[in-house]
Amino acid sequence: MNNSIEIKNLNKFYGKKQALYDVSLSIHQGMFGLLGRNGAGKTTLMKTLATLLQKKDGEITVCGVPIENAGEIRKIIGYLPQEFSMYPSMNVGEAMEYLAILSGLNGDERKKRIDALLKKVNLSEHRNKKVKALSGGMKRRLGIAQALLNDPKVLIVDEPTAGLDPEERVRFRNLLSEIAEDKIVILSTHIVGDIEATCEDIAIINEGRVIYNGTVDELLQASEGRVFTMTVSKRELPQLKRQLSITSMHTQGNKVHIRFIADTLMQGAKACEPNIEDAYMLYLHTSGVRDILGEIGGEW
Amino acid sequence: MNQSKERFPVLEIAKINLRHNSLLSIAVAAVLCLLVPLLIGTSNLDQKSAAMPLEMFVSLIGIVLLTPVFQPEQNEEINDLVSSKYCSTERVYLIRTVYSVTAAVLLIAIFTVYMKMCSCDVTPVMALGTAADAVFLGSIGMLTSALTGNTVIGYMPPLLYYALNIGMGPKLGSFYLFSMAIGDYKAKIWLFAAGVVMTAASLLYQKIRRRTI
Amino acid sequence: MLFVREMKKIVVSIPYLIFVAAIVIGLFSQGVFQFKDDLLQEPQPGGVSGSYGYKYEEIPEMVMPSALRNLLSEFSDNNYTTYPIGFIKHVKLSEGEQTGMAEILSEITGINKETLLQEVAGIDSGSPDNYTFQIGGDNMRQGEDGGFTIDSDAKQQSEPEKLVFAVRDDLEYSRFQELMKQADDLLGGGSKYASDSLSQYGTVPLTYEEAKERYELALSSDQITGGYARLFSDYAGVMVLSILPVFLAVILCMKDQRAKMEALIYTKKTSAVKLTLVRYLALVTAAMLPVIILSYLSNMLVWSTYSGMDLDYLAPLKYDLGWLMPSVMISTAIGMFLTELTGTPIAVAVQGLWWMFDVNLGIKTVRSGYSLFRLAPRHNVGADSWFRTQDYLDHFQNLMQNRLLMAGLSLLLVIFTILIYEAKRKGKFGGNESIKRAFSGFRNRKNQSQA
Repeated sequence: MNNSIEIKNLNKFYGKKQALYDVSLSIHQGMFGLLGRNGAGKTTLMKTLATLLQKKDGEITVCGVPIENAGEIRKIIGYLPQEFSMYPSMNVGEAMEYLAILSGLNGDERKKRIDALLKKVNLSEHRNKKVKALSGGMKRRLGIAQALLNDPKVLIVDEPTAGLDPEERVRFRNLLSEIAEDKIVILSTHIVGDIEATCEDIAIINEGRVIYNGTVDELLQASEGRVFTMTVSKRELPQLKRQLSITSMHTQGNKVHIRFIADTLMQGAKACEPNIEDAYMLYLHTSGVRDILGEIGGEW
Repeated sequence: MNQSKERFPVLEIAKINLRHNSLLSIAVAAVLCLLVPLLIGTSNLDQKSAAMPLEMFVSLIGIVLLTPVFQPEQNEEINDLVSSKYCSTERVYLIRTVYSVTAAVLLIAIFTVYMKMCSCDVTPVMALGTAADAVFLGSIGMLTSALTGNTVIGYMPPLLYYALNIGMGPKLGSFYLFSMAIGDYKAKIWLFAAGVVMTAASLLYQKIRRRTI
Repeated sequence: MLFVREMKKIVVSIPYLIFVAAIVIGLFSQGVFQFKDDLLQEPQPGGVSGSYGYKYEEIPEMVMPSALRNLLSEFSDNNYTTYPIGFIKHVKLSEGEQTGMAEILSEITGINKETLLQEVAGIDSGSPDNYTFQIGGDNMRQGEDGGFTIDSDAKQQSEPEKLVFAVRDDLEYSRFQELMKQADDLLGGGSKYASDSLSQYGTVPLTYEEAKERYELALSSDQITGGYARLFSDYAGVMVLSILPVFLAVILCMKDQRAKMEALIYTKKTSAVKLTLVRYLALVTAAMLPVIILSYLSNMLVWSTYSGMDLDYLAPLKYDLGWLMPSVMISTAIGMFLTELTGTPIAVAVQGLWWMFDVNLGIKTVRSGYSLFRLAPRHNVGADSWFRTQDYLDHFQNLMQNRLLMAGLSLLLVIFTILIYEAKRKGKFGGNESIKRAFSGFRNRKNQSQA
């Protein structure tokens, strides 16, 4: 049995609207990052892998099992949806119990597994707390625990860090990295920091198309020599914002340090080492997206 | 991991669902049954009069019990979560349907026995006739809930049909809900058959809908 | 505009489609488009007695024997039919109570109570196949004097015995009324012997003059169309308008929750007052629109028949707004209030129960039901009794009180909804918190305002 996910020429439609165009990816053991803006098609791809959505055409095999065989696939995957919620009257223990039953675990195995997982995600003491009363971070940890109930070969986590505070986010990334040691973990995010910290292989999706697939290093290399910094006065900023693809800003008094992407060096600017943010922006930029800056500015 | 073993723990799923997803509707149905003797006479009735509390009131528990069968997973987040698990959600629906019908039949049986004890001329056939009404009304709710994805909308058509029966009376022929009160038991066969068909259709629709999205 | 947007949200939806279909089907089934079959005709002089219809009147000579006959029949079966709150109820009396009833009967008929009780007991002890003591059955004959003779079956007794059940000649009607009241009390109230029900034992044919008077009244007071509009309102209110608007309200309010819009709306600038009022207005308007159209369709179908007469073309609108709208208002308000309060569709159950009560109450009070807490007032038995205009006018005061109360309650609930909305917005209570917490939120609010 091979330990990889193979996606070939996947197309997906919602009615007449096409959500995924000819997506082909090969995903191997370890963390795999899916990067893209909100609405780019990440969730669609992940739901398709989790057998929640039907594909239009193309081929998907998960560890050698064709995706059409939903029952078998569900045995070997764990899925954490973007928004995690449970039947309102259930507490943490009951939710785990029910989901374990649905995962096909029998009595003894179930109890052991639930205990171990709750301990792993640090929720043992909150066993009797109602799921809906958990904090965002706790909910996400419970989400991971439930996705691991069947000890899956593949873990699919959709936007796991959205809405978490920085401390929770770091903790969560570490947890995922730990899990990824012997599994395929597919992580989607629109937060570049998540990828930077955890993934080696990534794909960038934009408007339903894969615009980059490779390692983080390769992505960085490809952007070499196209990222610059410059210090400008606040007054100049509005005009520069219109002209340049600014990836980050740092204000100091009435001066602003900006980082931007450009094809050639311009006057007063200095070339610098690209980071993933820059590279990501560059890819989006070159794939014909113009209006990204306003949107992502705040998020990074 | 024993995942190669095919497991589908019907009883465990039923137990948890009963407790967390169906307790309220069963409680409401029971309260409804308890209210009936306060609203309408349930003692010393001949067969036709005894049909009234059964057909006109007790049968309403079908709406209460069956319409919300799909409700818990109509929350999209919960749906995404449980659908990714090995045990398919359609089977969970089936389990809920079966125990909801069982609960309806049980409550109706208890009520019929109660009426018998109050010296009403009731027969087991009348209890079955009432169950047919309940299944029919409930299945209208289930079907609407499945088609619209919204349980609240699901409650509308069965109540409307109930009102129509009050308004139109025996003109509804084989689908007249209160037929036992006029001595007609044949209509119940039609009602029950239609109820089963609609229940099956709504379960099937859930399956197809899930397949095609 | 907010109103247009909310209106669109309601109207362009499956529930609204069901709502409209329900109104059309529901009303069609009640024959509101066939009022042509119920035409008002001017009574012609010279008709035979009864041809102008009947009326109830409390005439002692008629009431006493009929009521006695009925009571005896129920007494012998020990199975009394009552309507304590409108629903039919069969009452079985205990031995002691039966004796009490026998005493009452004894005073009315002059037959001693032991004999009466024996007669009843005789049914039980004898073999039921051969011996049937039937009062009101084949063996019972009405005599010239309004009394009844019962032939006991000869098989059981050595010699045939003749018992005469008749009202004692010297019984005053006032005493009879008292006795009937006692009987009613024994039965727990709501029986046909209650003071206000006794008149039903007296049916008198109308005279030509009375019929003519009724006809004139329908012409002058109702201007004909008013009578038909009233019939329409009677059906529309009870069939759909007191239950279905609650669904529209609940579904609209829950839409926000389902779409996770709550958080967004809470932060929007629109004030809670404005949003709630606009929504309420939109819901009521949406529910009333098809009703107004249908009421006119129904009414217009008879206009041509009465051409040349003085018709009130605004009658349907008057009844829509005055009679039906308060029902729509209250069920919409209950829907909005309970949904905002609990975040659950519990309003459907609450309104459903009230409606079920009300509909079934209506079975007894279908002719005229205007009591204070009626959800859907009733006024039926159609044009063939000249719309019963006088009855309507007699009860108009009650109707007004009921409708004003419903409208007032609705507005009160809307105000409460606004308060809840405002509290939620300030984070005082979250959508999925328990009602208990919600109420404590209210309490805090109150304490704060007192401080």
